[in-house]
Amino acid sequence: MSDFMGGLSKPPEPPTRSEPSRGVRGRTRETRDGPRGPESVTGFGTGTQRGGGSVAVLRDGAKGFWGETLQLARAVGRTMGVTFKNLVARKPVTVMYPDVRRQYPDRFRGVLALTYDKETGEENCIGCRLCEYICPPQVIKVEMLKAKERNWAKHFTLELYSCEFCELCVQVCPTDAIVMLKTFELATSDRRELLLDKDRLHALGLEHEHSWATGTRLRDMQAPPKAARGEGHRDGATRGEAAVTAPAAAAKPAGTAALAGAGSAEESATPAPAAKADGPSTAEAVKTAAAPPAAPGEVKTKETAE
Amino acid sequence: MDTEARKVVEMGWGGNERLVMNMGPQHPSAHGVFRAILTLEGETVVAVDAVIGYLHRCHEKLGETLTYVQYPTIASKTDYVAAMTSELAYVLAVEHLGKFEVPKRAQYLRVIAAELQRIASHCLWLGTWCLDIGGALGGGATIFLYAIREREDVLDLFEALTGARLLYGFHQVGGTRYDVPAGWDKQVRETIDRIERRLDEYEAMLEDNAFFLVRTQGVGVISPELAQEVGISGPLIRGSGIDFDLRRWAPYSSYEDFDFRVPVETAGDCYARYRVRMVEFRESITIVRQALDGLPEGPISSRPGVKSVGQVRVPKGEGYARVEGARGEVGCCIVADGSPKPYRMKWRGASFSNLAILPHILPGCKIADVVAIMGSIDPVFGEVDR
Amino acid sequence: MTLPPLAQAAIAAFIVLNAVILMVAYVTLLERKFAARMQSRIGPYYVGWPHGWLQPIADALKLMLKEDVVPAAADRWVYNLAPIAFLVPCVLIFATIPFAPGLGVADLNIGILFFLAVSALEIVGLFMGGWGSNNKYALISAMRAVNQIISYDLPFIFTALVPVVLAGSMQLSEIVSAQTGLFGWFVFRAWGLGVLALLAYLVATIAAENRVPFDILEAESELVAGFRVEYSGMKFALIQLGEYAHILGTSFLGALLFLGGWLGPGPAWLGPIWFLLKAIFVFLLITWVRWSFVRIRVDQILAISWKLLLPLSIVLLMAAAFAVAWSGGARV
Ligand code: SF4
Ligand code: SF4
Repeated sequence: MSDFMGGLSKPPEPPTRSEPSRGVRGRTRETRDGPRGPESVTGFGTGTQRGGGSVAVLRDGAKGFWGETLQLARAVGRTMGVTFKNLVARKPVTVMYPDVRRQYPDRFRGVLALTYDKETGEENCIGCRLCEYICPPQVIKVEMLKAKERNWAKHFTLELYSCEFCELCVQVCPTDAIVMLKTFELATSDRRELLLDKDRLHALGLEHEHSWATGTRLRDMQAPPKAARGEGHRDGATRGEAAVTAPAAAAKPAGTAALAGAGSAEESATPAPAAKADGPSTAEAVKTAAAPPAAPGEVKTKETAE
Repeated sequence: MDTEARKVVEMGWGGNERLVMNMGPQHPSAHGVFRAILTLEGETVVAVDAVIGYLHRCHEKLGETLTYVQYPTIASKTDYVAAMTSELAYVLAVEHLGKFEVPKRAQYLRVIAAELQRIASHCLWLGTWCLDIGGALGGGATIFLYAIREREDVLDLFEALTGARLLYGFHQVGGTRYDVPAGWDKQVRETIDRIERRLDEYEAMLEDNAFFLVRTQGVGVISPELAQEVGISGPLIRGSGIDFDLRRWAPYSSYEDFDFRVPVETAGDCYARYRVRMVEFRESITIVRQALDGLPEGPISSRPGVKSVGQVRVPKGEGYARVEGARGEVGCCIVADGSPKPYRMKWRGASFSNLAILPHILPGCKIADVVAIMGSIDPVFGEVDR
Repeated sequence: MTLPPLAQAAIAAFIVLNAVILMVAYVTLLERKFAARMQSRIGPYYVGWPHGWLQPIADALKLMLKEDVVPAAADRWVYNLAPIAFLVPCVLIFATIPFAPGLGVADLNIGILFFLAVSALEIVGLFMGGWGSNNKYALISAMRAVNQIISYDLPFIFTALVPVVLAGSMQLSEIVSAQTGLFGWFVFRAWGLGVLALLAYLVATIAAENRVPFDILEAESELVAGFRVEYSGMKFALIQLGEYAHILGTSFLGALLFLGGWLGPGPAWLGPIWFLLKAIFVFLLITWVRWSFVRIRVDQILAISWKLLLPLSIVLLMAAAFAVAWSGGARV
């Protein structure tokens, strides 16, 4: 037992009375009136008890027995009136969940999935491992498969049971490969089912509706003012706020380069072409993407994609 | 001046056999996992000892192992009932250290989020407190469900804004991560209008209700001196007659732009704290309205969107930022060493400091008052234990 | 064919007992649905789709199948006997209630006295449970129970005696037949005394049943579940059954004393249905109060009883007696 706040569970001592000076806290019997002052004690107040005052402490103070009783009756009426109003006038707000689902907003952050390119049907993920680095609970593990045209993810596992749905992985993905779905149903009797591999993640992406957010969109939304973009971090001419990018640029980390495969200057490039500017060997490949993957067994083909 | 807080509070022996009773760690009104060891004389509490730490998750250590980019998403887990608050405190501390500025729009969005969060948090407080004093099988449960209904509406707003209902990750260093979606402000206005109307109902249910009044008035009285010495904050200290609100006295995130009242009650009892929070509900609603009206155009972040884990670095130094959370002053102290991670991170949890008042006001109460007082303190044990 | 009186009584008792248990089961469903709608919820729904018609049965089955845990430190005899000691008086009160003229187990000529005496006995079971569990929460709850139930049985009895005085009989069927005629129910009579008595009766009932706002016995935010914190499985079910049977019993009594029992428009065979509807009305009133108010503290509960309710009920009783004497025995 910790002795929190200094020895409060001493053994009983012989009777002492606390000094009345402490009474402003109303702890003792002598000062039961407390700072609220002697309110009406007619009616059925509990004057001898510490605190509590009397039932008659309705706001306007003493009213005499009948006044109090009337007020009590009114109070009962109003209280029960509110519940009655809810009983008859308001519909239940319950959503009959498994049968009916509410409308999930566009930005819903749910189960994660990997995507295919809309046009070519290829996997978007290039195995760049940015999501692995950013993930706070470190639940993503990616292995890159280098290839001529573009890179691929050789393995991609996601321990969904430890994911905190922070959407950082979505945000950093240069190719919009990882997205969140409008579903949250993770309940399973076997924890291993939540250890998602690449195939499972791709399948999930086909099964469920995607949320709005992708890396490009998120970075676009957070983009600093246009005036400051792309031209080094000059003070923005049109907006006062644009000036604030200057200190931000000063604090630009150098360590980014190692991770993104690009100089930190690219960070301030316009987010829309971010996918292109990001990895020297990756982005063009996404667009052309003609070469078959080097490890076909692990990659879904075009047919399964659509 | 610090005499008041040092007094060991113990009741004189009334001549009855004493009984030591554990309230918690698993108890319906423990608000989490909190163990209060009550010494009883009949129904009267004569001494209280407290054990905390059941929910300890090494949050400060986590803060030291995660970078400035990652941690804001986890900061919300300290006080999971008002998740926006601790995120805001963290990013404010980092921005203070790195001297990053925040666009006006982001500041307003932060205010909107913080005030909506206060509404949501107070909704939960009202519900659980009434559940404590009112019983899970009675009127308390009714108010609880009404309050939760309203809280869910606010969470719907957050869900539309950020996609999550509990742990938002809305803030990032230099601004916010999400801009308002289309139609959001209309939705916000509808929701807060509705909540404002429903507040009248709660007040009709509670303030006219003699049973509620006798349970709260004169119970758990905290004197202004004691309040200052123990270092409680938020609605507790304002309920004790001390006008202390960081939004007013140390404005952050453009709070100086808004016109709002800081409710102060002098009685210091549970009822005063209740009144303070009920007024705060309405004040938060007016702040949200003002912020929505005055929401400037512009970027939401002074920094480019997060693209890599070490993107934010701050120079060596030490910074402290504090915000007025729903439960009081939430402070975050960061010692930076120039790397992308803090060298040391320390939380000042409002609930933790507020909980320290318990041994001073519990002795002399009835058992039933213990839960009423606990509820009026409104601790969140994620924030206490961290 | 006529059966011997004992067999007749046994058959009647069997029927009433089962009817009571069934009613109790469905009254819990009613309360849950009622409370749910009050709280913007739906309540039981899927078991016995739609609207949870099989929920009480499922609950009963579940409780029967649950493990029956006896705490190691419990006083086994007292602990095991307590649910029965609690249930028996709660069900026994139905013995005297006539559901229609001549339809009941035993229409004693001191019916109401029997009812009040037996219903006060439930405290024994409560206290046994609280004591036998050897649990501090249960013990405190048992102490509270003694305090509270004794305090509230007095106003309960006094208010229940008002109709007795007005009707001039202790036999329940007599009390009903004294309420015939337009606005003949006692709630409308005696210049408003009746309605006051009904209100006082309701308050006293709520307290004697230890329902919110007077449920300090159970007080789950303070004492977890009070005297029954250690009970599980079938024993818990028995306690729950007893509690609801008691509430239902007092609802029937309230309908009988103040709302004219089985009297109502329509043919005589509608009588029991009227009676049932009135009892359910009283039950819903109690439920409505329960789901609207917050619980009050033990000292305040005692204060309300001794400082307000008891004097009020005594005054009501005396006023009723005075009214009867004033009118020289005529209808008031
Ligand atoms: S959502 Fe967050 S926690 Fe989950 S995988 Fe992505 S980065 Fe990791
Ligand atoms: S960040 Fe995107 S492209 Fe890179 S490994 Fe993760 S999912 Fe694949």
